[in-house]
Amino acid sequence: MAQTLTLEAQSRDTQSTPRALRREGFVPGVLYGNQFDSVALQIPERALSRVLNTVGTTRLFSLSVSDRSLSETVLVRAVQRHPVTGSLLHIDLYRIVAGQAITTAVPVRAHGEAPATEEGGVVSLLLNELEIECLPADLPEQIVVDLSALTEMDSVIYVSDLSLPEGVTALIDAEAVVARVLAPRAAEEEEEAEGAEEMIEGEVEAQAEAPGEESEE
Amino acid sequence: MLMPKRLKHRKQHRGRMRGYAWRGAEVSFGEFGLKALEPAWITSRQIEAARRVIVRVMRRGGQVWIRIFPDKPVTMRAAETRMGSGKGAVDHYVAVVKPGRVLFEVSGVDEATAKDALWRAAQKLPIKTVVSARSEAGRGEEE
Repeated sequence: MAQTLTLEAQSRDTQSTPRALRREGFVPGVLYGNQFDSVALQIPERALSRVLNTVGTTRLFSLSVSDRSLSETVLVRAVQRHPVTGSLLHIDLYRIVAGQAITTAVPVRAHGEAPATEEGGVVSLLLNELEIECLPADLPEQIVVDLSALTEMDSVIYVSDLSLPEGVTALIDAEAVVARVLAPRAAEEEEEAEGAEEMIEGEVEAQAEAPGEESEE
Repeated sequence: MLMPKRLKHRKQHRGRMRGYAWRGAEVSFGEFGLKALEPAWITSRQIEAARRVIVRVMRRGGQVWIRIFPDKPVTMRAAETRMGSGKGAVDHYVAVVKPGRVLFEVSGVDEATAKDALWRAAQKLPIKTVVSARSEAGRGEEE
């Protein structure tokens, strides 16, 4: 686990508004975790987005808070972004203690080709993130799912089928589905579905017109 | 077409569409999504037209998710009627969409096909949109 990246931050005056901070090019944030008094932070936006693009939420990095002479190994816990612009609004950083197990979500990445796709099947990756528990040193960047096991239509890969790295435990049900092959939708099937929808529509209209069901305020 | 199965109240006030969609603003199920950049009422007909074009472009392969539902009834007055005599009859249903809302998601096809399908779907909608990819591990969405 390489920890070469260092992010410089300053403690934040909680009296100033986050909006004013963002206008000055900082992102408000917080550092917490492991019997540690939380610290409100302000981090330069450019530096933060550069670090975030490299480490994501699955790699540890160093955080130094210059005005508190604090240096910690941290993990990104939560990132808030603007829904339209995607700009960073707030960040949660979690303090890591070596030798103490952590819980985090790691992305699940598909690898290889599923033989069932040659018969027209569609691979559906149902689990995009896996909640895991491990020691900080064992934290994997991603969990790889080998799709070559999906040989037939409706074949399924469960969490229990995943080959997790040593020291990593999945925190969700072992019977949870990770990936599945879906049969392709036939043309007739789709037309039938459309006919059924029109019927439903007629029924709903009749129901809406029926008196006595709804009372206006 | 999508519409509610049953309603608590037959007619609704029009309401406002202020602010952003703070929920449902990330690509959560598929690999690519179509994101609204403007507020609008999207009718069930528009949703269905967009869905059909996505399915057609993807040649029935892959998966499609519709992330909005038209649950708001819109009333219209009958043609050539005078004002008054109460509110008009329910004409159609709309989904209230705010900027940032992910409208459709797709997966199971290559990137070019997914983007083409979503772009064509956007042509059926009355608002500006952008195709965005799933953000991985806090890294932010690509557009």
